[in-house]
Amino acid sequence: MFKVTRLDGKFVLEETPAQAARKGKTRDVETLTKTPSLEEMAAIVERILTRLDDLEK
Amino acid sequence: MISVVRDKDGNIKTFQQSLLEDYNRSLGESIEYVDASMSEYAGRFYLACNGRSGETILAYQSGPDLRIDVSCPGEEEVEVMVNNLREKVKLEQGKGHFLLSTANWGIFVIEPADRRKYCAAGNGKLCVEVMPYV
Repeated sequence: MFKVTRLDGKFVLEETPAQAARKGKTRDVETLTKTPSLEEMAAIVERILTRLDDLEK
Repeated sequence: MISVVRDKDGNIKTFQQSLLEDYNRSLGESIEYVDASMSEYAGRFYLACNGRSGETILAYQSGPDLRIDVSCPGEEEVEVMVNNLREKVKLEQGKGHFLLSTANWGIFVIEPADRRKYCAAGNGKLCVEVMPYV
């Protein structure tokens, strides 16, 4: 079940790690069109693995 | 006459207008009879979104907030569960409301907190699915 918090009088669904990773997809693709650093590559791979992990559930 | 089926913990599992004499009970379930009409009993706790009840409500991420209407005639407040959160809703003349944000996608499940008093099925349960904006 999705976690919910209360914010400004409304109920808000908490963002899951996979959702947060998905948010960065456009930026990740843009980063890959240049020459990404090792740190940037590591972060992109981590986000891909997070999203894959969510798909496998 | 309404037949109310309770689970082993005393929570209302379902109810219907027939006497359910031949209902195949699971272990620990019990049946009780209430002198009320179907609409009276079902109307004791009622959830709706934009006038729709008892069905899954679909919305898009980043759309307008969703207003959930709660009806509980004769009560001044009622507790509901919104996923993991328990919320007390103030009622005026048995009616109240609260808002759901569509900032993130996922599923809201709203039901009565007191499952022994109210049935978390039919008009007493509401699922709201916020779909990702692709």
